[in-house]
Amino acid sequence: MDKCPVGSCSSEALMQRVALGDSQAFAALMARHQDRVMAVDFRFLGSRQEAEDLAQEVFLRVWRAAPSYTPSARFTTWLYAITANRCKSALRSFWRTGVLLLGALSADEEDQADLADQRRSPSPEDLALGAERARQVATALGSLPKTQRLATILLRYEGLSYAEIAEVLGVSVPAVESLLVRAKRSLEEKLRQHQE
Amino acid sequence: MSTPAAELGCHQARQCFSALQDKALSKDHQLRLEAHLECCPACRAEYSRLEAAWAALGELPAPSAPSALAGQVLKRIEAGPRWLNVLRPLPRLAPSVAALGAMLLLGLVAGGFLGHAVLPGQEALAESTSTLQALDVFTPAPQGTLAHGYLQLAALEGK
Repeated sequence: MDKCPVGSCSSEALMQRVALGDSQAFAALMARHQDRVMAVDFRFLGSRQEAEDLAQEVFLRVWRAAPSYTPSARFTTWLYAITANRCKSALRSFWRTGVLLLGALSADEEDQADLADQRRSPSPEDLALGAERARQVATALGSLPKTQRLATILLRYEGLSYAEIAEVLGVSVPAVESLLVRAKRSLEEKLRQHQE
Repeated sequence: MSTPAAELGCHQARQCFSALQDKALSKDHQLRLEAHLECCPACRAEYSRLEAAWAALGELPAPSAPSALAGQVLKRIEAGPRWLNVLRPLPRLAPSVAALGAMLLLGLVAGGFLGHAVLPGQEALAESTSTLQALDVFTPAPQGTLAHGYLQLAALEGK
């Protein structure tokens, strides 16, 4: 395989090198995509600390799954699919939530912060100070069912098309349309309630 | 002749607002929907609210990834075999698991204590025995009666 300089390699080509255990290529790949992973995680979870932890988990999953990556799939679509799955399972883990809540019995300050994050109420540090509107938006977004929330984030912030969102979420395009119709209606209602 | 607006009912039109906003409608469908909006103030107001809500989402900033993120991930990869990463959260969860165990033990002790208090002891058994004896009055020869004494004597003589 021809080795291009990591800076100018496509993400797909970097992934082929990652599959062979090239950690330099993996570092370059992370540098290129970490902000978008972090942004999706943060908007989905509403907490910076949780988003950072989840972003690490996403990239670990990328490293582990690299041998099974086929260059026919666009890397970003594949990465978003991993991110979406991790986001969904982060909320699905009832056991983890339960254990964290139990951990409050002996929690130090850091754990208490984690617990606050677990409840997904963005702290003033997570959002710009005084950004009441941002908090309202985060709350409204956080109240959506997880698949609607992911579809909204991928469309609104990541600029994906309906077809790409369908591929990432593993659903049909009409299903994405339906998810977005419901998500937008719900967001509009919730934001209106906040304003009243 | 029907106008384009008449072709689309309000309910139908509202179902397509999201797709109109995302420019995901066919040209023909888009024109019909725009024509409906032109002559339907209620739908126009509804669409404006949807637009405003969608615009408001832009007010949610997202932080950049910390510069140390890649280093932390690489460190975790280098730390050992990949399957060991599964065990990584365990030390952090240890206090929680200990608390869970303590609560389970407490539950067992409390359950045992309460069970002992609720289930009948020796005194309760004696009491229930006397209750059974009291029910003896309904038999053909209750204890302490002449008939009972006669039957006991007959039994002795029979031996």
